[in-house]
Amino acid sequence: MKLAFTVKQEKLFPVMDERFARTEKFLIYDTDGSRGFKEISNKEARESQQGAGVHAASLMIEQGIDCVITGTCGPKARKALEAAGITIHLTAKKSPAEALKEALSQCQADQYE
Amino acid sequence: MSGRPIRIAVVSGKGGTGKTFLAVNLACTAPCTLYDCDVEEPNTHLFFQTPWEQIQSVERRIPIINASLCTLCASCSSFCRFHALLCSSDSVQVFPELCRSCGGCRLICPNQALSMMPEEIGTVLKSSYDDALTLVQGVLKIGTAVVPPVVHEVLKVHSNDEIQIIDAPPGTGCSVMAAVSRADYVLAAAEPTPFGLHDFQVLVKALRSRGIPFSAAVNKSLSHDDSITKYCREEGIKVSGRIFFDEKIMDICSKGGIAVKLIPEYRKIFSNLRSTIVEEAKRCVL
Repeated sequence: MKLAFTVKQEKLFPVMDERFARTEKFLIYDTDGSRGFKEISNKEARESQQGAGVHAASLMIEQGIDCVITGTCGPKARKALEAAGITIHLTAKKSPAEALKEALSQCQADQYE
Repeated sequence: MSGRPIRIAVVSGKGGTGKTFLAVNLACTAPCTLYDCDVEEPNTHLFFQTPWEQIQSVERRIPIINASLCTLCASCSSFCRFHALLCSSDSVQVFPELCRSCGGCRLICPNQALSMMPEEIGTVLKSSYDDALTLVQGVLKIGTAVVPPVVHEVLKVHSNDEIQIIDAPPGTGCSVMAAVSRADYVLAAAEPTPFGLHDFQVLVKALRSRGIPFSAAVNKSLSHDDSITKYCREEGIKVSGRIFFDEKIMDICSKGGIAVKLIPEYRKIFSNLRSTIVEEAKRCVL
């Protein structure tokens, strides 16, 4: 499963960016493949005047993301992600590692339901 | 005389500067047509208790997808720079609020799976007042985010009047640029407050970038040397008119009155302002 976290750079470490559409960048984590993080920029969507949500969502589709982990998600982005069958996991966590733990335990809980 | 009508747009960077006050009073000094292009909140009708007739409905076209023809090739979604279309693994989603109705998606689709559906976004109304004034007004449909097409339709309404005055929307956005793009000359209204000066500077930049001839009118002026006048002097902008701050005006406007019809002194001020800007506009048109 491919997860995307919305993050921004704070000093040396990335922290969670609470916004989906206008996040600085995405951290992509593949639970099946190599256990590393990959970074992709969200510059284009972030700087667009309108339609940032749809733009960022199309980036998620391109990257084959299964689940987006973020703080908040606007109505257009939500419609776009849902249409593409991408799960949205909202979190209040500051660190991506903690958000990952939370998202994974949530996924497992869902599986056993 | 050029013979062709002359269009003057009253514009201001900051809302509440007195565009409608200036436009209505300029319009009421002699016969002309007054276009209210502030389609998001038209208000010239408050000054004229006349019946309005809807003369036109304004539509725009947004794409719809014929799913049986769509192969999910994503040509349309990658073409649309406004991201109004999104292609996922099993469908193409349309986001009408982001669409600019260019129709490019329909042209680029290799399978003719897109067609453009009309959607009403506003109306154009017409009225007249005292036989001397023709009034045209646009009203945006509530919930619509695309304003310029309605402004353009308002200004496409034909008039034979030699002088045509446009009451523009506030600010310097697309709707304002739509209004001034169909004007021969702009009267840039400004008030001498810090916000007023700041927004006037932004407006000057916008007008200059489009090469639109303009001069300034200082409204609610407190002295002959206020912040707007100083800035105009530094920038070489002509100040065509000055309306001093006057509680009488506030009182009249708040009751929907027209100053030039009630106070002879203002009739003179506005007649002078009108002839000054008409002269300047004619010079620019010829």
